[in-house]
Amino acid sequence: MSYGPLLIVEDSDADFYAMKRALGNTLPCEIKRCITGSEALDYLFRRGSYTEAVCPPLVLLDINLPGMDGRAVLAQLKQDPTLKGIPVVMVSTSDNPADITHCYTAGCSGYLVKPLDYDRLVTSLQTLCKYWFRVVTIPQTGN
Amino acid sequence: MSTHEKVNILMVDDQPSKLLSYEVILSELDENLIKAGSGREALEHLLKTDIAVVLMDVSMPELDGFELAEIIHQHPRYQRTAIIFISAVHLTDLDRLKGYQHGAVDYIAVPVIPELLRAKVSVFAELYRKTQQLERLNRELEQRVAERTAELQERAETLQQLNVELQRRNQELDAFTYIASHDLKEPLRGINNYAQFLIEDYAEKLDDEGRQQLGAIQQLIRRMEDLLNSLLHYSRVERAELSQKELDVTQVVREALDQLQARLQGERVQVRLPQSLPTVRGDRAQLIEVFTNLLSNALKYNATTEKRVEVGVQDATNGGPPVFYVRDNGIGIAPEHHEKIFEVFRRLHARDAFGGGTGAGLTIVKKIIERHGGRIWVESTPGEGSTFYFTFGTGEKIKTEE
Repeated sequence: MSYGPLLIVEDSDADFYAMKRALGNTLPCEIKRCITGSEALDYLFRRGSYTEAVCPPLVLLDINLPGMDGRAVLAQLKQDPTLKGIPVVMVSTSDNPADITHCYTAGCSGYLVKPLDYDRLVTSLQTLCKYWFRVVTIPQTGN
Repeated sequence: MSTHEKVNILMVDDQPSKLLSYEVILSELDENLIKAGSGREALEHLLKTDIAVVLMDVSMPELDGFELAEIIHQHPRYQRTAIIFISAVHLTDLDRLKGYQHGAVDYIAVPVIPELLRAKVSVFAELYRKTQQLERLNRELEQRVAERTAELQERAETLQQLNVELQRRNQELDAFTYIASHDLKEPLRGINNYAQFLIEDYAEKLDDEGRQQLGAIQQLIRRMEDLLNSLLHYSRVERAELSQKELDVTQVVREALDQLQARLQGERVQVRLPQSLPTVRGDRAQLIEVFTNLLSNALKYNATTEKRVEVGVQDATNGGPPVFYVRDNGIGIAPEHHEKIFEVFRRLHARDAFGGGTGAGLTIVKKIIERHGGRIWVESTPGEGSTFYFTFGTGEKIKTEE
């Protein structure tokens, strides 16, 4: 199976680096990073400099983003008839029950609380990606 | 005569000699006497000054006394002005005035008997004076009531504003705590990760001391995380909506003990509930947290080999809320610390002594109890043990938050 790149929307360089490092070479695809919510929407809607963008099989979406936050990005994706099929896993520091409920209600496919401990991050992210890429079948995307 | 406030008496007659004689008769009364030679002149005076009594001749050229009386009484200001006619005419003519008898109307027949005239005018002047006084007092009273009402209203508004402000600040503070603990976690996680990466990538380039120092950084990070989590938990306890139900406190204590089971095992611990506990209204999860915190403190700060904890309720005292207690035979708390222990992040012992902890437990307990309208205090003898007393509510029904 060939996939488009895994889209990680994360404004923190440190967190992105840690996620990328934690995933290592376990992914069947590349990683594409967007820093802000509006950049992520440009990418997914193929706007601006992203007219040639390849649709990702999975989006890891940080909640706390500068400007438009992850919740707003999620809401827009789930309103689009084509894009709403892409699984979106929220990634956040917040384990606030209200945040978690809100995101699932808005249609996210998972919610990962960023662990402080790096080893736990490795386990969580690798398990998560194993689930989406090897256990379950997700819609074929990419060109 | 006494020093009364003079009132105006208007005398109307077309014959100056008569006016003069009235003046003489009435001068004894010590009032202001105003003379008018005609009905028109009388009206001019009435427009300019307040008149208490009008004394007038019935038959005058142009405007006679009855016509003048009609005009006077039609004016709202003079509806109650006393009019005394001096007349030789028949009493039946006075019937013409019936429609206008709002005010005092009287008459004196000629020839005028001075004493009678004086007496009548004096009565009406006094009546006028008293009415004026009464009206003034009424006005003063009304004004005072209005002033006081405005003052009270202003105070109520100020209080309302203060309340709104207080509420806003509290919310801001809550939001601050919440955001701070979230936003602070992010760089902390970064620091932790990079410390980890350093260990992973450069372990062989570091000597033992370098690795030890990195380990110390990671330990401090974990401590910081604990502190932030406590802060977060505290702010959540404050913000969470309470779902108030009637709760059997015995059941609540049992659930708290269940949660502590792991800690209770492997130690010699005796937990006693000498009597069954009453029911209270409260939030189940938060009440359980009160007991898990107090029970775990009772076990934590206890150096004896036979740890004893007792959970009970004091005999009901004159209608107040039930006073629960958690008593231990632990290390006790010196009197000077009885208040401090409820402050956030306040620890009395070395960081890792007695199982460590951030020092937020009792602050959270106090917050929960206060949110339930109750209070908590401690009695303790160092070396012998502590007893925490607390109530949920003031004995009245707690209002359920929406």
